[in-house]
Amino acid sequence: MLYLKLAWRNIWRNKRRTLITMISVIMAVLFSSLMASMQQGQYDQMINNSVGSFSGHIQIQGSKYFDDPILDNSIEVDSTLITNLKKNPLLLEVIPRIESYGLIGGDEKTKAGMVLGIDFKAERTLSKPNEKIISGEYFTSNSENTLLISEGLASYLEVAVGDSVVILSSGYHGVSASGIFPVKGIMKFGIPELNKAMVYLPLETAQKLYGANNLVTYISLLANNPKDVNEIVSEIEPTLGKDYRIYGWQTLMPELIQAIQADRGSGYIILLVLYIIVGFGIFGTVLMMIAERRYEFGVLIAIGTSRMRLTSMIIMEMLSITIFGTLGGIIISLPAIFYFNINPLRFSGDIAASIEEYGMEPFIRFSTDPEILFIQAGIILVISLVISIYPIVHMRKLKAVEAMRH
Amino acid sequence: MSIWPIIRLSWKNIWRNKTRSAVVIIAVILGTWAGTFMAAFMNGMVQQQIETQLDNYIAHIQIHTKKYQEDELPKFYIHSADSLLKDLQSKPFVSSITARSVITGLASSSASTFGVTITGVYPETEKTVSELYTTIKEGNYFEGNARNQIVIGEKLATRLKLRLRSKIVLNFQDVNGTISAGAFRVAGIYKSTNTSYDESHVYVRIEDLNRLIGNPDAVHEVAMKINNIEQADTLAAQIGNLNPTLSVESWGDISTTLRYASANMDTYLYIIMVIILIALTFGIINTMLMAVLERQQEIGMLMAIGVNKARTFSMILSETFFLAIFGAPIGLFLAWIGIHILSSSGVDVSAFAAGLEEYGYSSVIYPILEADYYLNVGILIIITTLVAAIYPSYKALKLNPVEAIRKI
Repeated sequence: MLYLKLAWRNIWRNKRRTLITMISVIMAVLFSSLMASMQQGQYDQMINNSVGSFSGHIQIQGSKYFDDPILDNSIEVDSTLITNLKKNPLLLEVIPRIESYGLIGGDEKTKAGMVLGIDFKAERTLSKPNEKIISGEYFTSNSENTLLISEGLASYLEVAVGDSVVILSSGYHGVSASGIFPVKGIMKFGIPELNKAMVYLPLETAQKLYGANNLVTYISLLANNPKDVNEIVSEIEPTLGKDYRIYGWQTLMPELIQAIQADRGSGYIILLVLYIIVGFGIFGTVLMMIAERRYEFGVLIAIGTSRMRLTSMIIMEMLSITIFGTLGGIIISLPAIFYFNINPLRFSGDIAASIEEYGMEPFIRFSTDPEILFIQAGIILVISLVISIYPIVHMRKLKAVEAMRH
Repeated sequence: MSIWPIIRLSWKNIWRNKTRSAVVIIAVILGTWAGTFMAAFMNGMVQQQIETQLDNYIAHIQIHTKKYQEDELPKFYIHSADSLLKDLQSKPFVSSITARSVITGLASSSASTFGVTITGVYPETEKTVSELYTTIKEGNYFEGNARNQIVIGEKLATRLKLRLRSKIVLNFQDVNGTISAGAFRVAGIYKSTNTSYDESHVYVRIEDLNRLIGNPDAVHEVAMKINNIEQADTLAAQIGNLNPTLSVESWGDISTTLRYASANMDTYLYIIMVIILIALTFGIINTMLMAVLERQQEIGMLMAIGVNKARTFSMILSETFFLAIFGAPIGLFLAWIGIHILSSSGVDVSAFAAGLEEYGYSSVIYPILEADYYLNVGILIIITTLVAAIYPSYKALKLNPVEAIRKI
């Protein structure tokens, strides 16, 4: 008990020394959590850019559609299902779609492209075609006989707003599907593949074209929080009939998971190097602290304090400094992370242009996932505790006379 | 009085307490080593990824007619492609070259239809330019002599429910603009890193394709690899100037994303370096602060015997400078050795990056770094150390000599 008291007093005796050691731990937590939340923030953005802006976080499909994405595997739009989904508080929007491919023709040229039948209201939250219109107008009903065309395709086919475009495809169960529609608007997509070959039709118009009345190929769901995807999937799954399947984006876009995992490797290595640097920063501070107190320790041993007790005193000192440092680190990191979440790091010039060209946001928004902060703080705590072994080893070797002569 | 005695004193000081000096030197070594090695690692990874892209899909330079560039129609083929090929083949900078006939069309099976780019290739020369043939998972790359063989991507095979030896019908415009069709048999199925590429690109023999589009000599694309990839832009411009009707593009023109990835690598490397330097700065500040604290008595004594503030300050600063001068070259040397060894043996990151292999990139990374980077890092580290020493040196000035001496 005496030594606990002594340790506590030692901490406060030389406040500056304690503070310097603590700051080295705080800084270590700050750097590693900033780095980790920057990396996680990038991944979140990747997910959001590709999932949240086209495919949706979750899709409900027919049981065969996943393996064989063709019109014949469409599902019927069950109005009670839609109403139930809309009531789910975790979901932001329910977006039915009918997706197929066809030949799209202007006056002289023809190109293969995607023909997507959309619910004009719901779609505004997902691929946001209303915000992508660069000339003409957005749909005003689900049954009007017009289409929206992507900018790249429009310039290839040499069509403008008001011109007619022919769609040639095969419909539900092999019926031939062909129609001629005036262009109502031209959309500019960020992702080049979409910009080159995309046509939007109002949902009912598309269903009529494909001879697929009241059918959709899938229903996209947009979650309020992308982290809830697995929870939502397992919640909805049991309520669906046996002809339906529900998939999270992880299943829908395995490439994205792969891309993130591929990048995560280098992320871990950067973090590892950072740990070495900050770990050595803490070590240097502790080493100097012990050097500064040699005389003090020498006196204590000379007056008969057992090494065992002296060591336990130091352990307690180090423990409290490290724990306070880690807590301090968490407290300091929080506003820093939130600052970079609200004011993301922006790219400028050429880099920004090339990122935007790909339909992504030219900045890095830091992730505020509390898990990151706790994991990083935990890692630094462990590193600091490992470093605390040094003073213990040092105590065993300390020779009182030499230490006091200093 | 000159500054020399102070510098001599600080030189002696750093040898007096070896532990303290060692801590700072090791911190500097670690910082230098980490920064340099990290940069080499990232640089190696990005370059490898760019090379994978170029080797599989883009090659180094592509030639099309200008009209084809605007409008990918079969009729815009390269006239007298033969002499162009022969001419380029004789150039010393070209390492491999191949001609292709490239058109867009629809691929249909009994199950479904999908829009694809159809490339007619000469299998033998194609293999020297594109390594896509190494990604064949089933079947082979035009080994048999049968007519109308086709190699398709795995994703397209799944989409159209095709297997080896399945029949597939391609619909496209011929050179006269009329719709033509041909039936092919799947000879090989490839799976590359890019699934959307696999889904939309099919390969046939050029003679089979050209027979169907109605011109046996049609060549829409010439793709080549050059010996020195750095010269891609200049060589593309050179070839372009000699052939005004042709559009000659380097890999950077074809994929701006890759060009940016390559060009921005430098910026990215320095960002990593700066993060490491900031972390290092704090380590050094704290260590030096502790060192000043530990030397209270000594510094107090110096001040008491009349060493003025400017001298005390410059003493601590020059001590740090000596330590940095020691540490930085050692760190650079260690980094150089590490990079040198690992640039041939590679670093296996498969433990961290399960995704890399599936993504088609090698999980063994070969670090590589330009020579001038070492010098820049060394200079940056020394500056950082000096900046980090300013605050502790300033703290030393604030010591009250009387109190400092009295302290145990």
